[in-house]
Amino acid sequence: MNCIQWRERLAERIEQRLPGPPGFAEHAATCGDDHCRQALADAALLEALLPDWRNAVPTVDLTERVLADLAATPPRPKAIVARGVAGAGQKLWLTAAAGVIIAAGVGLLSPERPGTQPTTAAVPSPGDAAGSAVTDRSGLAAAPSPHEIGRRYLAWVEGPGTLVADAVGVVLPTGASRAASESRSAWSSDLMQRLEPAQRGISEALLLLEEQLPAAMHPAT
Amino acid sequence: MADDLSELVQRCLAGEPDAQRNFVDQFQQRVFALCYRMLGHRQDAEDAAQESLARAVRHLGRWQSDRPLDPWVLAIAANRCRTALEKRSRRPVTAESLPEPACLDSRTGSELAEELQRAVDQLRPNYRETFILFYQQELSCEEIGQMLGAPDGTIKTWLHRARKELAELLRQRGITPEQNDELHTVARTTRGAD
Ligand SMILES: [Zn+2]
Repeated sequence: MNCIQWRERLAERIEQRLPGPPGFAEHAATCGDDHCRQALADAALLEALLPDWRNAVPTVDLTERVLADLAATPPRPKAIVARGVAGAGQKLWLTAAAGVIIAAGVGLLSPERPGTQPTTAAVPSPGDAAGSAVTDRSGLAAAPSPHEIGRRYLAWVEGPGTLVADAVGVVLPTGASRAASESRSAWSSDLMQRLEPAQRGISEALLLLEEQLPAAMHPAT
Repeated sequence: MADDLSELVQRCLAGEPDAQRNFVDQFQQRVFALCYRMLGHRQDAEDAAQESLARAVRHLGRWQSDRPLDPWVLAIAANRCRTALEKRSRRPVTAESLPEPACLDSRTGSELAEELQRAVDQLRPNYRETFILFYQQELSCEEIGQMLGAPDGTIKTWLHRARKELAELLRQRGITPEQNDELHTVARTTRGAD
């Protein structure tokens, strides 16, 4: 085993909290490499201090304080918590979903609908960031499906969403180091995972809305 | 054991005071130890631990039961401590919060532990948190990675850099295996055990 291999094995042993095999430490005394000697000295120093450090934590009894805290603000009702409503990202998506549903409801179930009056729905087109009303004079046949409304809303919020994501990117670790790059990719993967349930929720809400529409208004008919 | 824990969580969510008491009893020392090591101040650590435990009970519904509960609870405490440390870093340092000079001639185990803690306090946040979670909480690199949202490899790098910096800081304080009889003995024992 050469010096690099020996130091790699020392590192693995530390990560796995394992003792070295018999004669393992002898390498550092005989190889003549300062890095090996230093690595073993560092390991010995920390191994000597860690037990006292670990045990030198006072014992506490916070039970009554925590229970009093909980009595003042009880846990959230289970029904709300169980749906997994969490995080600012999800709230944003759920707000968007609520917007889609309300807009779809106003636009498609309005009593003004049947052909005689222009149908006005607050549906922005992708290029219509101000969200001005879209007027459809062609009647029921041209009514956008809830999915179409949802798609347009999502396209509409995509621009600001990208800006927010870019802004957040500014505060993430920068630099070309492997650690910084891994940290950034872990963050974005975590964000996508967190958003996934909300996106699923929007899809389900739109499908539910379609089911509730009178057959004549269903986009498939 | 996992079933017991799931049942305890369900009972906590139902608002049963006995279950909440049981939960707090079960986790308070670990949560306090993490806060104590991260904040280095007993009163601040008690406050942080209290808030973290209450928050954990309130939000138990967010815990995914197919994952271990300990890292989830500890992550709440670590977040709370990070916030406290950020607030503290914005306050001017007073003479009170400066460490006392170490007495290098008559170091007991607890004094050496204090020396190590002072060195830990000087690490950058990622290294410090990784070191405390690994050695104080005895979490694996994988569990720490899940808690901090970083890959295993990054956690291992942080752990080794933390150890290296700590050894260097301790050497600067005159604490080395060669210069301290007790440590020298341990170093020899370690070699003998290998
Ligand atoms: Zn060597």
